[in-house]
Amino acid sequence: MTVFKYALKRLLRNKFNLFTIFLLTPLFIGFTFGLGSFDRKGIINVGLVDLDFTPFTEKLAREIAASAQVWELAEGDIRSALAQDRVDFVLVIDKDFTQETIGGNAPNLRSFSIKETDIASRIILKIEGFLGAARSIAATAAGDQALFYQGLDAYLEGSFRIKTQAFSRTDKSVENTLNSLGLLAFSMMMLSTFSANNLIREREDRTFYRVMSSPCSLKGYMLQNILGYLLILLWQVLAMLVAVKWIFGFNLGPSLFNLFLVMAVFAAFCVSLGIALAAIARTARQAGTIASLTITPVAMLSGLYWPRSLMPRFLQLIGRYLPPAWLIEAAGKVLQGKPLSGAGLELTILLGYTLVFFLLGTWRRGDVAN
Amino acid sequence: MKRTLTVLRHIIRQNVRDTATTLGQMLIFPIVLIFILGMALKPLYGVDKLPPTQVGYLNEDSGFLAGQVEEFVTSPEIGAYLVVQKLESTSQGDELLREGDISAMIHIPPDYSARALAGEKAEISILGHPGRHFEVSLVETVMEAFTYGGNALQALAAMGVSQPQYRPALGSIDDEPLAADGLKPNAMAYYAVTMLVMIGMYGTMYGAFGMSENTRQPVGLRVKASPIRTGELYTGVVLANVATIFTGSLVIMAFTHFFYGVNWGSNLPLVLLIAFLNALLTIGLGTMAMMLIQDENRVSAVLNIFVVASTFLAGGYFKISLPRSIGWVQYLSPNYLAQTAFFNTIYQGPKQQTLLILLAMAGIILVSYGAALAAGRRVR
Amino acid sequence: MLVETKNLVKRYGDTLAVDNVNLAIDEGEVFGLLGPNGAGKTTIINMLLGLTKVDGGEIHIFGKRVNGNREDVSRQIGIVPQDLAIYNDLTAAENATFFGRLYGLKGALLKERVAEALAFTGLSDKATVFPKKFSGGMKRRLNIACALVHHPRLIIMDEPTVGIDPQSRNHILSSVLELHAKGSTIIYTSHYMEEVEELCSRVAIMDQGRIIALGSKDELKELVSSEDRIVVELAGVNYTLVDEVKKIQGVKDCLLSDSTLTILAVQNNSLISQVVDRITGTGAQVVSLSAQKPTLESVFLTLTGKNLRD
Repeated sequence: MTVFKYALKRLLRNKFNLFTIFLLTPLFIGFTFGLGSFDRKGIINVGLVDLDFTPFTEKLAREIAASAQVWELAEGDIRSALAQDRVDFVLVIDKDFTQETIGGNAPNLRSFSIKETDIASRIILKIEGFLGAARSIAATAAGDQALFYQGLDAYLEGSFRIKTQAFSRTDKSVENTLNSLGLLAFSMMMLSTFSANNLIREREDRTFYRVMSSPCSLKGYMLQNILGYLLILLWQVLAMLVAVKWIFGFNLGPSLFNLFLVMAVFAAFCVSLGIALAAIARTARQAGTIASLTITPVAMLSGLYWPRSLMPRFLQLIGRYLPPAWLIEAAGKVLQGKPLSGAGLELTILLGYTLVFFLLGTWRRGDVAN
Repeated sequence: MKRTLTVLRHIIRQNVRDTATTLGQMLIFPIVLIFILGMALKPLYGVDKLPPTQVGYLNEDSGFLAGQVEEFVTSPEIGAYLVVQKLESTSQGDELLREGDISAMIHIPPDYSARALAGEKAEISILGHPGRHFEVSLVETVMEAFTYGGNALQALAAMGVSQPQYRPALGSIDDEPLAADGLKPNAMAYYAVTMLVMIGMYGTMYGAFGMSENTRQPVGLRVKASPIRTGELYTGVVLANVATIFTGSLVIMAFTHFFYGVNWGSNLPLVLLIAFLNALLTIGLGTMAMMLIQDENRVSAVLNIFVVASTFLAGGYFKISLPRSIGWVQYLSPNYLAQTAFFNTIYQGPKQQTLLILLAMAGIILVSYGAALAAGRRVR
Repeated sequence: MLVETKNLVKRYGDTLAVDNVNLAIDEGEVFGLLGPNGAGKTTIINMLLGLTKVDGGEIHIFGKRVNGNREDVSRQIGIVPQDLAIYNDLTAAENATFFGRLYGLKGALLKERVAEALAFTGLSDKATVFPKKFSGGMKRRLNIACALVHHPRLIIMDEPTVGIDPQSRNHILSSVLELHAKGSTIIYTSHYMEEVEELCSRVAIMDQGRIIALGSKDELKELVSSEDRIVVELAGVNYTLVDEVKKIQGVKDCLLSDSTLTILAVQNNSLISQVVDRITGTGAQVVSLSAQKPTLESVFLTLTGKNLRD
């Protein structure tokens, strides 16, 4: 285990490595976890331009906010907010809207939307329902503002309710967790360039040659290196999982241990990938280029960024067989509470890929001297 | 000047000869990525209609309200939003949910009507598929529209109306639809811009390695030993790499225009200016990174993470939604600046914002080259 | 026989990098492998170490076939690679310790051997210093120290003195002699003639993958020792001079360029005085005269028609 011990020693002695391992990567991953998981229209965004601003319009806004994310907008921002997809739909409440409604004049609201989509039509249904009630109450109150609000409050506190279970907008469900694990997996793959760079450097400074001329075998050398990098990746995975569970409050399923094991298998794959990368690339820069050329598309196709089911069928078909896709499958099962054996096939295939890349990285025996 | 041109020509030739990087990273990579992203995420770029949601409907109530709920969910208006399948038991609903055949089960409990009549809280329960928030929230919204009716009648009755009437205020919103075409990018157009910007960001590598090769490595010593002034050398290296990135951008723009039908807007000079500023900026950042860190492998590692993080933050791979309070974080990403400038220009966004962004980019450019120069002096 | 190769062949595409090389090295020898860059020296070493595939022939070291027993055989070999192969992020002592461990040393013995190797290469006081701060010569010495920790029976030094200052070079050369005195067997490659002459008991001269001469230093010189080369600087050159000199019995060839006369002659002790007599007889004056004894350099020159270093 000499190679392993010294590889770790040298990795951890280097300030830059320490910085990358313990600060930069966790920051990046924590940041992606914390800020943005994939925005798969998790919620409808409604822009609200309230030019009236009365208790009535506030109540309307609160009702909309129960079903959608409401963004207050200035009138001039309507176009760009729609164009940049910040909102799906903009509702404009003109001045004196409340007064007119109470007066029984049944004024209309204005809205802006993208012609080709009907994403906000459910919200519109709701607003129309609310306005219908408000108009009836206004008619009954016959212009009496106090009576109108009294009736409106009674209406809003009515006993007809909807109770939604197994889901609430504030709860981050398993699917969100899966998306975030995908991002974690992506950054783990990017980190494989880190181990590749270190291996390439050893080849460049000829220490690799010297080690190879000792009784240490190539496979032994590689295995011990893998173990070193694996240990670091596992540390990172563990730290991330703990942070994600207890800082960001994600649902990591019933067994953190099983999830960790699944991620550990993927970590082994990533290190193996780094070794293959080091064998293919001649320089660190080339390794970086090859990695960025391949890892990003593979990550996309395998569903690390978004659910694979979202893509057209032929892209799904390609993605289905890529290594990270099996991780997502396995992690999904474990998150749903299935035992590890339930993800046996996926993990076996992932281990198979690991072995293939390991062999790819170590089979070029004849080249050691060059 | 002449010597600067010599350096410039020499580096451009090197860049062109480095076919693996130039062709792969600069051209094929973005074109493939734009294709994958554009195809994969087409449904998300919001010009499709939402299909109706599959729901199960289970009624265990025999009271008068049950019929009304059923009438509501099976009415033709609601048919645009819900496709209803009648269920016999909760276990049937559970099974369909587990299989993913329905997104939610609408369940009327046995005492629904009785409770409503007694004035107690009467709840319709919705059991949602755990993986489909959005669909479940749509079902919830639609069903809330139903409760509005009951609550309205209740409120009116409490106000003393003997025969309360309720109907939703259909048509009470005057909508002004805007055509998506020309207003906002579709998936291909969106990714054509974000990937163009990202490739520009990978240009930081050109900046870094160009500087290292020609100033630090043995070759660089020889170059430095020649009568060329440092300023001339740096200018040559930087201009050559900027030209490489900018040319790559032009090729991508042309390719996406002719083969993917991407619209680059009517203000071509401004679009080109943004592409040029982006190239200048990335080379500046790369040069600065090299001058500050002084180690190729480290610079390579740092820049790789930086480009991915910056693209990610800008929503270059997919749009991310940030809480409004930290929305400004996106402005930390150089990608976001360039992307917003592009989108504003192509899709007639606010001109003032565009101007501010261009100024910010110019500021970053000045700072990065300034820092690189200062660090370079110190090293010499 | 410590090292024995039979008809060793290595091809790279169409070129024969190593062409039927037969070597036999005895225990306790300092064996020189001499030849210009690209002659195939390093390829042979890589094959001895089992790091490069052998395309033909066999290698036995310590009586064992290298092919199939690489790890076993390598245990008793110490390699000083041509390129510096030390970790810049480990101290001198840590470098030596690491490589010592790879060869199976541990505990107190390892500590003792590391100290010994560093002392031997004059780096004792630099044990805790990182090689980054070393001069080129010190790095070369550490490069050697790392090969000695496990007391190898066979030490292979591949151009250990490339590009360093004379002081470090002398240090390295004397340590080779010291290792030899202690009984180590050493294979030493170089394209510096003087080093090989100074250190080695037997020498193989290589060119273009082939061994063109093999033997003890004296045996090799014998190859050309039937000839003497006399170089004369003249003043007042006379055109009959060349013909006159050629008439001397034993002179095989004579060449005049500018004022330098080069004479190749059969070995003969009275020759020089005859030459001087003849030259002065023609009216020319001898400014200086030197008789060159055969060197490995001249052996190489004679055998290949090329200079070693070009």
